[in-house]
Amino acid sequence: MNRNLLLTIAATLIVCSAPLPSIADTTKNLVTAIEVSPKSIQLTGKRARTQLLVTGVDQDGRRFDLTRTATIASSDLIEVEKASGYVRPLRDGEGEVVVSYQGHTVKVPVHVAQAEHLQPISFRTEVLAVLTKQGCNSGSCHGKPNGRGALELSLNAFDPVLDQRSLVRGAFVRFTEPLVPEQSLLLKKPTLRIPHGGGKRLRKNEQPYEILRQWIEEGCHVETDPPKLVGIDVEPAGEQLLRLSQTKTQQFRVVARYSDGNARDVTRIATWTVSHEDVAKVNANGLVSGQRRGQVAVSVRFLEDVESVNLTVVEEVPGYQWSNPPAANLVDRLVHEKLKQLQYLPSDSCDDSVFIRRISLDIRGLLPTSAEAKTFLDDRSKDKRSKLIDKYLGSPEHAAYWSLKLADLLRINRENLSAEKATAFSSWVRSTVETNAPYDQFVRDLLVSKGKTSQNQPANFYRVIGETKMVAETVAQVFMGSRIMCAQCHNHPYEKWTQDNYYQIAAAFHEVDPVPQKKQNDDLEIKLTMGRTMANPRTGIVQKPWPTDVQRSDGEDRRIAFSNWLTSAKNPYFARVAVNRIWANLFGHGLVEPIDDFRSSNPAVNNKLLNELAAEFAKSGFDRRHLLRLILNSHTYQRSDKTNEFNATDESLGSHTIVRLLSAEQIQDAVQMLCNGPTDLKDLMTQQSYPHLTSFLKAFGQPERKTACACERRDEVSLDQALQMMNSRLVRDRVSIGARRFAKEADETVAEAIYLAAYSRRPTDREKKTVLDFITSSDDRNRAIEDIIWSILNTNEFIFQH
Amino acid sequence: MARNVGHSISRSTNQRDLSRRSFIGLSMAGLAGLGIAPNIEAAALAAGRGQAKQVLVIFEQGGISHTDTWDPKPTKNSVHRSPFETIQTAAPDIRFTELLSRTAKVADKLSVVRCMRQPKPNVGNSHPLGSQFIFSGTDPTGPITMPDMGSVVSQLLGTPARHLPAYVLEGSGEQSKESRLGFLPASHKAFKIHHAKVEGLKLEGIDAKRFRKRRDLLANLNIGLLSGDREEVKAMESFANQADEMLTNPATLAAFDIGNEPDSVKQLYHPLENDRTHRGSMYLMGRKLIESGVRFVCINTQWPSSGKWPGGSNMNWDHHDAIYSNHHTNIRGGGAGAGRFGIGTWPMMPSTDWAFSGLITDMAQRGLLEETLVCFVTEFGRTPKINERQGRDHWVHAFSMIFAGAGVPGGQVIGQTDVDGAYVTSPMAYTVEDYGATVFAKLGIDTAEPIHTPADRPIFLAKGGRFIPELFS
Repeated sequence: MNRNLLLTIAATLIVCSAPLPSIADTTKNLVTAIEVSPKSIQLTGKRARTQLLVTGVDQDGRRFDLTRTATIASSDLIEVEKASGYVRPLRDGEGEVVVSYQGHTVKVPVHVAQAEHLQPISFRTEVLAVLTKQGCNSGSCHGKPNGRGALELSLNAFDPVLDQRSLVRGAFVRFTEPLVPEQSLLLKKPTLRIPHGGGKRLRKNEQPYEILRQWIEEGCHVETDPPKLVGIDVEPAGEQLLRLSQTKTQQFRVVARYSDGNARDVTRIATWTVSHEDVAKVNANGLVSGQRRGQVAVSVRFLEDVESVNLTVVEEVPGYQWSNPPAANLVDRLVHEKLKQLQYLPSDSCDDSVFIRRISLDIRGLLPTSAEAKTFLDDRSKDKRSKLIDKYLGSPEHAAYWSLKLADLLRINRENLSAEKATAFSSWVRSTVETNAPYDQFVRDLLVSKGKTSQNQPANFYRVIGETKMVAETVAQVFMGSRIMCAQCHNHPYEKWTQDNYYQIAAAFHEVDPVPQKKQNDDLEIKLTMGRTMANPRTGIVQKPWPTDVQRSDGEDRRIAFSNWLTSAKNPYFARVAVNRIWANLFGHGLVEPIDDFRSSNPAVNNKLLNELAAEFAKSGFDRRHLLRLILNSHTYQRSDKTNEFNATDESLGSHTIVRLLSAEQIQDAVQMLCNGPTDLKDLMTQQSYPHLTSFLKAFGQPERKTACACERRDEVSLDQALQMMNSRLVRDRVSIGARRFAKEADETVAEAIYLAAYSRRPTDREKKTVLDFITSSDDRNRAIEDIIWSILNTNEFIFQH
Repeated sequence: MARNVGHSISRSTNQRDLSRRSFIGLSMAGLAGLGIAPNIEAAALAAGRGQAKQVLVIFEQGGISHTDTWDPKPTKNSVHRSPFETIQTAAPDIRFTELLSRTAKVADKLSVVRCMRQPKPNVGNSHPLGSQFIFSGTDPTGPITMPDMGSVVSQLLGTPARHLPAYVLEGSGEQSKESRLGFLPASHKAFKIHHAKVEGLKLEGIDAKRFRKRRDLLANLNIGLLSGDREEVKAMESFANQADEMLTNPATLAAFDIGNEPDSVKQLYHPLENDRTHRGSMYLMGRKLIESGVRFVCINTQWPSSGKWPGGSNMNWDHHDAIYSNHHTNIRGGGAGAGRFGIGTWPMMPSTDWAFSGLITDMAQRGLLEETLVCFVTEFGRTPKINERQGRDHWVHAFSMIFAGAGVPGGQVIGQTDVDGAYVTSPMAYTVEDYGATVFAKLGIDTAEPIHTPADRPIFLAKGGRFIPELFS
């Protein structure tokens, strides 16, 4: 009591102010106004805390963090932690606190009540939050199945009953000892008073320690019906910018809202993480410090809620000047906006050879024929690129190649279906691409399909996938970009999907019943068995089908409401995920990566672009070809892979094209088309209904189509690929066929013929000479041509798309 | 679509290496702190971790009858007893049946673990799942497909011999198809050979001189797209150089070439008669591959069917019928056990006895047991009771695995089963995960630290397993 009084007196005299960062250039940081959050400080109880946020606005309206540089004069009611703006109560009363910077001041009203009352600890909202924050219950520590050592906790505290049992009863009651709280293993191990495999996790003078200690001291009480968490509000929210020239740090605060109407600042017991530590780091108190230019998601988890803020860190690049390149459409406009903000310069446009090879591979999966390349190179018309785009988009090869990627996700393989059935299902998928059926219609046709699979091809969707939970996981991953399978056994570790949500989505498909048709061999009828329920196996509570806020009448196919929700233009996932997949097919990487892992803690590299493309896609009636045309006609898509001084380090923003390995089917077809010349479509792998899985194709990552994950198609380079290109039977056979093709040429024209077929370009003089010399110095012309083809097949320019 | 290139893989491996090392100290201290781990484990860990540089697994698939071989039960009910006599071995404490008379002479180099169990109801009697379990050392029925231990080791430790694959699987056994790459990059896949036939490493249709000429021409023509600072293109060029070395280095094919061994060595593994060499020559190849520097070798073979062994269409160890037949096991009223040969016939235990004793003798003579862990494993045992078809069915409650090399004590029996060989009676009993944890621990890989899938899910190797402490001296 005496001590508190003294502090109160002292605090009225002390002005808390942190030293200015040494590098801060005050002329740059001239402000026209400052703002303080919260608007008023309300503290009830001795343990109440709140984080202040002081924001400056400069003459250009740009906002930046001043929490550590503004002067905060404390009142006698509260104490403001030096250099962080963290507030705790001193005594009851009403008053105000004055915040000032460069002559601007803001007065914040203060109301403190029950400053002497120590509220009991809440197990559900405080202890569990701390266990997550300190990493105790993470998937690699005690949160893994069966825990670690003698302590088993649920992953991110999704199962409070288990956590309570472990903490109170575990290790022969040694984790928590209310009679001597300090002797509890729960405190001794993480403070390293005795050895702990997980290292130091708690510090005695910090809030998490005090929460655990007090909870143990109070007898490890667990409240029976605690208020539920309604949501969390993080501040600042939305898209944020951190200019390193202005300030290196940004303070965040987070407030939890509960079902009893209360709201509490949980900044220091919430868990803070960032997606890219090389761009920005965050400490345990929600203070973000920028490291280098780039984009990062700052995520905060409190209990089962996760919120994220996209933060762009901007750094001045010496000598940088925006080149003002023209924009063909919204793609360029938004890519340029991002490039300009992060100070990258786009590369020049690629040349015609690169363009025709790139676009042919991307749209049709095939190399252009020599004739096509020659015609295009010699065409002098200005709009030849957009004409070529339209021509290829209308080709049957395009429909086959783009349905290949859909068929990957629908798992059309020979293990699930007979060759005949796989072909029929695949053909249906292909026909929807060929007729450019609206994508939402395509998805609805799949999801609400029923009847005999021999007559209604979309019903094969259920035949292939089978079990209800697999259907739910497939639908979520393929169309919502959500890897909810994690939530089957525990709440998703990185996002908001809970275990209940998992079973709600599953419940929407639980009436599907594949009934074998005995008489017609191998046929299946997809029927609905109405009224089947799905419970969360952990709680035993039957889950409403997703979406849970829709009124359904008895006997109504639950899948209809689900697919209407899913394919609505307002759905937050559907269009964005579809757009991202299309983008990734064209650029080799998605705006979100991995392309089917959408969550707030995994930000898009250009969120505005993704959103606007998604809006455009929805507005067009989910017209895939419209979207393709838009992207393909942009300068962004047509950029060269050659970098400049100001974009070499960019890997994802679209300032230049990223070189990538041809896919398994593309490379086999490329070898075939180079050596055999124009080839019947039925002999081309990009045009097949199901994967052929030869050792060549597998080496280059052809998926078996066993999962709904796009990652099953591997795209990394490997030793096996090098061996295949040098020494496989496939290459050996093709090379000898190729020699017959090119032996017809005169010595002088061999190079040009091969180069047009392989690279869609004419050889340079040096290349011509190398080839000619090799032929003329050889005593076996046929073998020489074989050697040349073999070498061309093994060049970077052949096996990579650029 | 993860952009994973060779360079970043090796970098992250190094980082994990570092964190793994720093973690070892901590985790030991942690175990000791709770007083949960017996001291023997900590001591064994300190002494034995990382003793092995290479691993040779002999996987005899189908479920070897332990009471007919490694764990004789001479006093059990004569109806169910093995007809094979119990014999003394070179190790005072070890007895085998006479089917292992040659191996008995090298028993002083072996640790015989008689208390293996496989108590997973979801794996149970399944040969495919049981085999996958042996390949990966982890319960194969989890949500994520687990890669083979050899693939994991390839990823974490790389290859000591650049001209050879890091993980070679002689895959002529029926269940070699259960080998899995799981979530690892394609380059860590098992390099499978079939009856020692190597595909893809021999220059086909072209001699070395012409290949060199082609590579020179390629160097001159590979100018349209320079690798520059493109990591993926650089990685591909590096793989191409490695492939070149594999295809042209004579040591590559020599490592697989069992023909050029002198007869005196071959005779250690098998008799010289043409039709008696199969199993021994596969074991011999295992030794050769280890000697040539392959990191992880698994020999999973079975005697090939031929007119010489009529009725032997699938000669693994799955002796459901007529286990003591003098020829094939195809009997009236039989079923699942058809296609084998009796356990005492040449394609089964006698050839195995000859081959395994030769392998141990040869490796010991060459000093290869110093840093190579040799494991002789099977997916489960067989019923202690003989069934009505004179066969023995699957038995997961007790079976034997044998270990040698890399610090494994010789002449040691670990664990004990009851008088029938039915259940483990010793205080300790070990599982297939424990076998997996043992292999990883011997290689210095800490299974307390997870590896990660491309989606960044942490995956624990040999999950739930603890290494067998008696194998660490």
